Amino acid sequence: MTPLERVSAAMDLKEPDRVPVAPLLDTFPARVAGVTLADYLFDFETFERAFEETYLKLGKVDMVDIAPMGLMYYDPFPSMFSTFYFEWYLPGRERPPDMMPEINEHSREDPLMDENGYDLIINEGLYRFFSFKRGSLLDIARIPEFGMKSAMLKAKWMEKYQAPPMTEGQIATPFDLLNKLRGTTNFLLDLHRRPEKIIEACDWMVDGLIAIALNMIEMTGAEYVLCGSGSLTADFVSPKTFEKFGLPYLKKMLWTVKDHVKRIQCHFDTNWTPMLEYLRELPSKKCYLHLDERTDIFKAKEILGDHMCLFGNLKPSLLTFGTPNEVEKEVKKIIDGCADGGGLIISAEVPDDAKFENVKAMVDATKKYGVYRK
Amino acid sequence: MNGNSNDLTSALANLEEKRALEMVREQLDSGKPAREILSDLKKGMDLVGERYASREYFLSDLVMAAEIFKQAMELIEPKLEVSEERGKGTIVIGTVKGDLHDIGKNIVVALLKNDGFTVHDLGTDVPPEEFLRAVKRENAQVLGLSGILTMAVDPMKETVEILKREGLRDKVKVIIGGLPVDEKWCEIVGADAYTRDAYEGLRIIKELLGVK
Repeated sequence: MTPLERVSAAMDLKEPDRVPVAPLLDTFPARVAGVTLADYLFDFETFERAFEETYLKLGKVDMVDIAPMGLMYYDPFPSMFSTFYFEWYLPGRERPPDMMPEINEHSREDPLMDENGYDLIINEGLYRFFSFKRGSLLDIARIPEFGMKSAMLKAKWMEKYQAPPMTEGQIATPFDLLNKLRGTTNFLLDLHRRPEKIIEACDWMVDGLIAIALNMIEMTGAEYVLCGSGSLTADFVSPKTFEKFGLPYLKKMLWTVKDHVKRIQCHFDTNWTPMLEYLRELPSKKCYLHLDERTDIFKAKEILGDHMCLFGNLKPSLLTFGTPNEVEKEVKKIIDGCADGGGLIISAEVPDDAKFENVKAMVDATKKYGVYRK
Repeated sequence: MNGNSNDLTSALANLEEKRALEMVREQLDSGKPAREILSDLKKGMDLVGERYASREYFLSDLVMAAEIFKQAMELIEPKLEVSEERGKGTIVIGTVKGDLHDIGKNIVVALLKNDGFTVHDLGTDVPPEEFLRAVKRENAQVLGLSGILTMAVDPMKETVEILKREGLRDKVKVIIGGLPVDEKWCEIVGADAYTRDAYEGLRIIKELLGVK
């Protein structure tokens, strides 16, 4: 099977030849190839070389995250981490060339959006929170160039390795975006202090955000998109709160977007365990579920095994602080509990300072233990 | 409306911000001793803790409770005798350098104050030297280092090392807290304990100090 066939089978809840493995490599290839983060993020040739070197050294993986973080910063569409809202500190610019990019997180006392912002959104629209500080207008002018190069890279990669991309564009939900704009503490307090405003703003925002997503998909030809969510999980709120402030919007967005793409990665960080039952209401198979170690993936298999493919959930810190032996054991444990009948892809977000031998162990262990017997 | 004690307890436990603060003001105005008001608030926080333990409440509810408690404390603290409610131990706490996350830390601060500890909260993005100065100045028995970014491991480690260099490491217990911390972190940092949960953190600090 090619990586694409393998991944597609797993996502269609059929057994491929073996469990696919797809680490989210982020900035890790820059470390492997010994290039600066500034070059890795903003020079496409450097990025491609470093990524391919890492891909081959790891012994090939089944999905690739070939949309670099540079693109996330330039994010041409006002989704979650877009330069449209947030001020980024970038390597080679505001930071030394080898430091990780960082978003300017506003303090609780000085949020990007104050408590009157809900009314501003309702009455005037989201653009009220676009900020074009720091010469970012010039960066925005480079967006088409980035988009084009990114599309070329995907085509080349599919042809050469038949490995599909993890994400070519992002979708933002209203509640996660509000959480980012208000800051988590303020948003959690708003859930108690002004719940009706949140609902009103979300009702207003959801169609606009769907339109932004569809516009992005049409303009870039994206087939694999990512919907990140993690602000209304059991790490923060009750299942009932998620049901009221999160689920309706998540459903509306994903059920609309699904007809325009091949797959949606539901990149659901933090603890979703008590919320898993609700996820049966998301589109089956079209959506696959990225979980981090905060969610019980064995419970997810039990509840969602016949509904959507699971993607995860090795603990990132294990890749930095652990040993290849420990990594192998963890991979085997996830495969033993979740691989049955297909619907599993082994993954983890690889930290910038992960040890190469640990990431390699994750790939090797999946290939060793993930084989399906006919 | 002149609520009785149990009303204040339940107003806090039910996260009724306006009502709880109104009652604190009224009771202070009517001359009720601050320590009695604090005692009602404590019962409310205990109920919040029970509801959190039984998964009826979640983090957003703890944040709200801590927020109400903090505002209530601002009202009653000036009228509290230091000796009567602050005798349990002295704690210096903060989010380490390079990290601005403070939700968990703020809840821990509220819980510690609620339990009768003297707490010096240094805020966020606190450099190791500032922790050192505060530990010296306040003669702290416990140092709480908070962080949520994986890179917070380095400043935590530096802070413990600077305590060692100054010969203070044996005099202060170090506890680290935050979503990513685990046994490995604790070992790398050289801390005495770690926690990912505010209530557990409170329990551990009490154990470390041998108080109830």
